[in-house]
Amino acid sequence: MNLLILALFKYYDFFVTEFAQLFHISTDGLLLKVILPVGISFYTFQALSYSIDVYRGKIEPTKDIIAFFAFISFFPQLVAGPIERATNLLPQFMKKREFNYDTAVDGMRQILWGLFKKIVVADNCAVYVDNVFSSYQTQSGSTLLLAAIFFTFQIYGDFSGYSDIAIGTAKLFGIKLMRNFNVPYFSRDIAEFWRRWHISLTTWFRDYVYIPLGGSRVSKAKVVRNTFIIFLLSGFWHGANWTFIAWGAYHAILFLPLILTGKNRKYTNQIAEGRILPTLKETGQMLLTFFLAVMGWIIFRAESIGMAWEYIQGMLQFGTIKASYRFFTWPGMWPTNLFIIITLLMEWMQRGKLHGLSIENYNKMFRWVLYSAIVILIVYEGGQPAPFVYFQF
Amino acid sequence: MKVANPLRLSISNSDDMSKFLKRILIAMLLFSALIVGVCFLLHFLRQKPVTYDSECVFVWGDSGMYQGLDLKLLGDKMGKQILSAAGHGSGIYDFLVSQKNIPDNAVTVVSFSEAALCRNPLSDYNRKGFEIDCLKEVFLSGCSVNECIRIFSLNKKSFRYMAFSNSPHTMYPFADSLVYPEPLPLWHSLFEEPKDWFPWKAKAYTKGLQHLFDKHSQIILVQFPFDKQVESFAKNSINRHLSDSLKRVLIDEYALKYDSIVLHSDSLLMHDLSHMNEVGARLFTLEIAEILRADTVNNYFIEVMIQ
Repeated sequence: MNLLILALFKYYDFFVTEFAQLFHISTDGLLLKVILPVGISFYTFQALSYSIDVYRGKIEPTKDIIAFFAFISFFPQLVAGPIERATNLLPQFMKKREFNYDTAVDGMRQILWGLFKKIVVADNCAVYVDNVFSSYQTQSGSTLLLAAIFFTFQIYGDFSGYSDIAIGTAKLFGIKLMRNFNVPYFSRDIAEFWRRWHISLTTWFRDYVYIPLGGSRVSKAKVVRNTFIIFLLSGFWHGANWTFIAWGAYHAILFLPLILTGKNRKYTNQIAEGRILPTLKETGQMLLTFFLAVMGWIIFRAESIGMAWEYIQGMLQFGTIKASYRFFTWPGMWPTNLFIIITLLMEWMQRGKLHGLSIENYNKMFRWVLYSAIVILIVYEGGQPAPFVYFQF
Repeated sequence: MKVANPLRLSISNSDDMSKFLKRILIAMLLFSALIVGVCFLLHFLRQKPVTYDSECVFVWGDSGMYQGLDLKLLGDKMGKQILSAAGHGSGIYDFLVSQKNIPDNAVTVVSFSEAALCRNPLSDYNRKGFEIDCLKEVFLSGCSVNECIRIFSLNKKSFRYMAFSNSPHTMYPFADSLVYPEPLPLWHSLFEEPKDWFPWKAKAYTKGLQHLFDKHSQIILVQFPFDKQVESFAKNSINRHLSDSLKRVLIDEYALKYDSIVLHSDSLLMHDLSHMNEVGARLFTLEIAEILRADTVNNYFIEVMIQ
């Protein structure tokens, strides 16, 4: 039933249109043309996790209707996750919760950090990204590359910012939500990237699709099949568009060599653990993984496969230095670069912690100066207000 | 498992809760003070005045003026530099900021724009820079707090700004038929539905004009024409009635000389329903240059008509 609702709202029109194009028939009167309810993919998957966990006997079916609907519609994470499991969230609504000062303060810090990433980083990047993606045919290769890098930070700031706000808000109510991002751009390979990006969705697919299909403990042919299934599903989950499916397929292709050679769990620890700086090898690995992620985000951001292909072609041609100089000299470009660097530095320093502003052990004066600076940046340097990218999913 | 009310957070540790609330309150007050402090600091940093020569002719208006006046032609005809702050979507706040930068005893051509008065403030492109005094003026005229916050947010990054520029306006080219960037029903709703914001916009606009009179400017108010399709329903509309009243008040109160410029041509002079094309703009510019050269004393209200 859950999937039927999702299929009707999100995928029905897509399939009808594709079939109609394939068989050259008219779609008149066949399309629903309904507005997609905000966050439908998130709460549908959350409701599914309850049904599956009850079926598997992991939790008892609840008779408490208020707790059940609070679990489905808990407002901080209702529209863009993290996609919670019934086994984690539902029991929290059924036991007595006590207000904890330290948890609440940490929640406020996480909200502040989330606001910074969304308003200062993502919204400022969005201006340039939208500009370049809407006129990509006329832009130089280097400008296209820079805009793709900006989109990489835009989507991270936007989505992880929302997750931080949701998790922080839940902490104020004494609810502990699962972590959704763990410094993904500091990953050393694509497998590590997927353990750190949109964790609640990747673990959902792992637990409810990949492992039931046999996971990696089956024949190599089936491992290939299972890997493609979860990545294609993950892409399709984002929306009814071939670009998302291609994005999923692209990551599946990157992931397959690692899983087939048994190297997919090579990096399960934090990068440069116990050190301040990464080694040269780690830096190279991070940059390569980042570049692969950037290429994936181009497919994700493009409006069609054709556009993604033309964008990548244009990018690989490389344009004149003058053109990229123009990109760097757009008004507000340098502050935006600076905000990205601040975010990377903060998250690098806090990479072993739960979020970028876990600074409870720092000097009080330093903490308050930092809070003030972030508030000022949010108020005075925020970009043009834009809705969260993941609200559309 | 014992079922508790899931919506209730236990406050057994009420000391913790009150400590948290107190600190949040203090933090909010401190941050608010900090934001206001930075705002004032930026404001004072901007106080270094941008001085313009009073021999220049100053122009302000929204898209009607931007598309209706050929700056280069006017400059050539008058032998003066023309500085313009006209732009698409300029709102009344922009007018207040712009007039603040006009020196004493200057010639000022200002648009009397029904569209700017009737348009929803959310659609106003108020980006001429942040000025506390001007924000205060629109707020005291009755502008909502939300709109004031929006103006602040649009302009918060403007450390230094130039209200006026001598870059020529980009004119709409001549065409044999009108283009319709905005559908006709939009104009119906603009004129026919009463607008809550009209009174405060009119009040703030009048205040801006008063400041210009205080600076002994020679003021030329110009009302640009709409296409006859818009005029057909605008002439009897509620908002035309209100703007006509305002026009009469301004003419009486400031002793403006009423004049009309009737543009004749075999060609189409409008580009769309509310903007003139380059042919119309050129004809109007020649006419207004004549008036400005002939009379350097009187203030005018000029209504532009197309025959």
